[in-house]
Amino acid sequence: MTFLAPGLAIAGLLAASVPIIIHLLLRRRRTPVPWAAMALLMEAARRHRRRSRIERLLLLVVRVLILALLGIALAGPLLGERVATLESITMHMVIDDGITSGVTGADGITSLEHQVGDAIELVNGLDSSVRISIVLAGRPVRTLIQPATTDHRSVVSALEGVLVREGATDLASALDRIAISIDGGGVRDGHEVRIFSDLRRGAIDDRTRPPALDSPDGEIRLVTTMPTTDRVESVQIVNIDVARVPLSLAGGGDDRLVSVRLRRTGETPDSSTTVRIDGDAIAAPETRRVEWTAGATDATVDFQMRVDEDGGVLEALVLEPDDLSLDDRRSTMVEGRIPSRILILDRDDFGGAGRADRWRSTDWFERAMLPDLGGELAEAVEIDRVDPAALDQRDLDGVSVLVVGRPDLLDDDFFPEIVRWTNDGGVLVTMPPGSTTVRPWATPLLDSLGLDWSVALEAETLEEPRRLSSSQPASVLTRLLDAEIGELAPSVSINRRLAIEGPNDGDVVLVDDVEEPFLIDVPIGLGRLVFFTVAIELDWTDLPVRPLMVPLVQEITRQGTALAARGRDGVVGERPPASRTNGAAMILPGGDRIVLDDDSGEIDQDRLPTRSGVAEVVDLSDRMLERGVVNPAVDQAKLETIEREELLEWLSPSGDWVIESESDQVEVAAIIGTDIAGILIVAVLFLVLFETVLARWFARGGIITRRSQGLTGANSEADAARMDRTEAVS
Amino acid sequence: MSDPAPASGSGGLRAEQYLAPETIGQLGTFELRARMIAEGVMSGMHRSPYQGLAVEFAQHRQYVPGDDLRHLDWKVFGRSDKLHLKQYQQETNLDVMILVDASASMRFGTLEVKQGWGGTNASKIASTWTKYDHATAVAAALCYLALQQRDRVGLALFADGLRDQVRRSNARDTWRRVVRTLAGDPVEDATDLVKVAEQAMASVTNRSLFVMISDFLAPTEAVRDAIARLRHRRHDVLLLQVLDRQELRFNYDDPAPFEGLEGEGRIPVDPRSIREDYLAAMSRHCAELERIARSHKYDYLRLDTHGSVGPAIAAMLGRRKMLSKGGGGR
Repeated sequence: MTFLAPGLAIAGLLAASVPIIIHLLLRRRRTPVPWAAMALLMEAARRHRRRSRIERLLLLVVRVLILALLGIALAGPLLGERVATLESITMHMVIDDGITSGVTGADGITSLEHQVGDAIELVNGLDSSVRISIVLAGRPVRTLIQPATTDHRSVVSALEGVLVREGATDLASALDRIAISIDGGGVRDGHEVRIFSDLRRGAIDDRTRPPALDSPDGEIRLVTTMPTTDRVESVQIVNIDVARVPLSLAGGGDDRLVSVRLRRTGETPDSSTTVRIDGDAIAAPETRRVEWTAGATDATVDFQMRVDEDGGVLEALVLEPDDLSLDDRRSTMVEGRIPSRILILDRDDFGGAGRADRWRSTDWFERAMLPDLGGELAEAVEIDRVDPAALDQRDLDGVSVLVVGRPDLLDDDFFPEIVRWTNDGGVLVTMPPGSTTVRPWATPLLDSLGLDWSVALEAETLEEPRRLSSSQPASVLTRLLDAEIGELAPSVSINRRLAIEGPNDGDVVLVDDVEEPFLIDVPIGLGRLVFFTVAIELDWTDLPVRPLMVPLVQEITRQGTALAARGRDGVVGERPPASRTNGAAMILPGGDRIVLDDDSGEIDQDRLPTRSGVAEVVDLSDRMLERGVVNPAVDQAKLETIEREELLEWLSPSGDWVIESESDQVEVAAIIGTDIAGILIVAVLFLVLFETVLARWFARGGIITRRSQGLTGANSEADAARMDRTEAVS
Repeated sequence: MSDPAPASGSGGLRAEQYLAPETIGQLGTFELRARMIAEGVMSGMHRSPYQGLAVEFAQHRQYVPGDDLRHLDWKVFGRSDKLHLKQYQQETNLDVMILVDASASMRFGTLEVKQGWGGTNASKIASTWTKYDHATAVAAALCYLALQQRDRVGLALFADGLRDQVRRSNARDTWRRVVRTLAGDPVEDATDLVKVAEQAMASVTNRSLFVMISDFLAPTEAVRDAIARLRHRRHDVLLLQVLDRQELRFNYDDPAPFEGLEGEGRIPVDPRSIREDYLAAMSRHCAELERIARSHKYDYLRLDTHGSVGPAIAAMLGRRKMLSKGGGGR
């Protein structure tokens, strides 16, 4: 059985609760009646109680049945085979409200407004039996109307409220939601899916493809609008790059190089663009002008400006209006002077600290970090030591670099905490333990980090010491050492090493003379893993006493920190501005609050940023810990037009799409099946009559109301007899 | 149950008006109430109630309508053209002991009376004619009649035992003491009929007529035990059960909690659905009471507080006559 109006069926079932509510309300408190013949009343109550309970239950069932059947009858139940012919009974609309839909035409109307107008026109022309659902394709993708409804007035009202979003268009996810809706709808029905979009380049994400759209009975129609051919011109701010100075000497009122990268789409004639830099990170705004030559699409504007030592928000703005205003503004967070905090995990050494030949990896690492104790660097760096077995989650708060000298002593249960910390932007430096261990520490750690590497359990003692190669791979980690690395590296010899397989070539920083990895650096989320294949101890290598040691360790720290710190800026509909701060919550632009310390590490799609602006990380007492910015999805705001064939090819995994003009109307399906509403109405009427008789019977003790007169007093009987006689005489 | 139907006729309806609780309740004193009841009963009877069956001439008195013409003294009529009756002194005085239930259940009543128009203190407050009001009115009338016939009358209020008591006497001030005793209020306690019977018999040595006025809502076993004790001492008994009309008919509609007056607790009741069961229970209870009374050849009379008090008087007179004849039903 199916329904023409399932909403009414649900309403009927809900109405079935009405008698239950009445039943409960009738149990309200009443004023007690004082009574003398209580013993007799209680005896009667005992006799009546069992019968009464059954009667009430029976009445309740009948009343609930009446309302439920009435609701079902009003919903237009059809008994028998299904409903529709090939055309749509349920129309699924995909409205592109992504950033590219904000393009304003010559008439001053946005693309979205055009598409919404077309959609409303279509809805108004549909038969009232057509059900409609709407999914908005701008990230974060959301359903505007679902489940589908025949209330076309509310559909139009909802469409009129749709506004352009700053997120990228994600047609694949939107269609995925529709696929789920069709699969899980539970109604055998015809379907039509319609896309309303200008379908510019930004709407087609080559990294994703739409899902297959199948109706349970195979009757589905896929319709999309024609890709627009209107060319628009827009200058977009693609990125703001604030150059970092080494280590923690950054900030502090230094002059910083701020590069604003621009991209031009659409027509590219000779023109000029004015870019202004503003924000609370700088004292006063500055403006630069960019001259575009014909055909040029990319440009970079550099600003040399003094940044506040506390950091803050830096905002770039294109002043000239163009066809898309949403990509004319971008922000970024500039870090202030925050001391780099390094946490070393190793056991306390009470005996050998004075002898260099007994120094451990972490001892060498610490000394390499602070060669001039008491100098300026010492103020900028904080180094703490913690026993691995005593490590606590709170120890990681505010830590930039975590040096694990004894990874074999880490508790496996703590790996998830380290992984989360790394994903949030931490730099994890680890190396084999210098002493022999039987614990397979590497595999669980690397597995936790999602790295499919194979690491030997036992260190290999080389018969012939190796040296670091004079020709090292190019790595961002050691880019400042590129000029000297060829001379410094070969002086380092290796006696023992841990064999490793699996790292990508691009992640290897240093190799030995047989091209085996010595140092590996791999991004993990927003952070990094820096992995030594040797323990930095003299038994393993003479690196600690070579000139390479200090610059290498410092670059690992400064570049690793700098690289990890990037990417804090969020994007509308994609990710919130990431933070390594373990705050309780992040307040997104617009006021939405998301929890940062969720164990799953994933944020619900519905809780992604929905607008640009400044986000704040707050602790449990709403104290602000740090700020981040959310920018429009300019990377996906590609305004170039695409060809019809390219669109159909991209859509092809979901089925055979047709491109039609928006004025086409869908055919309304004929209804096949036996309408049993009349039968149900008769049944309801019968039940109403039955309920009336039953209630009367139960209340009065019989169908015929012949109320017992009860007892009389003897005197009353005498009175009655006298009255009779009097009447007879008169 | 006897059927002491009062006389009909042109004065019948008028008499009943006098005997209706709505009328009686408007009289503030028991004396007035008692006289009204007695006169009302007498006015409706063919035969005068003032007729003893004594054997020794005592005095003459003036004829009143309804007197038995057989007792006219024709000699006096011949001499004076006036009708006089010969009256005789009874050989043995009849002792009447009236026991009135003053337990908490007697506070119940649903007949509304006008505010400030007589009644007991309880009925004045609640503006209702309670079972206790009805019972005291009947008791007062019975005492009045008995004293008029020079019978010795005693009165006691009872609940879980005898409370206020007037010793048997036909002295002049007996009536005042009766009235003073009846003017009290019901108590909060329940009824213990067996104990009451024991205590009442302790103060009575000769054979007497015990008139028990109560709602008799106590278990019938207790009533049976009490009656059995009185019968064992060869006393005569008249049971007057006073019930409110709502107790007899249970004409309630809305569901409500019902709360016992003697601490039985509170139960939720849907009157329309429980009515038949209740009436059946009440009917069984009353039938059992009547059966108990008849098994001892005693009279049982059920009085409705919304109805006339006349039948109670007639029943007492009938019982007295039976005793005076020496039948006594035993």
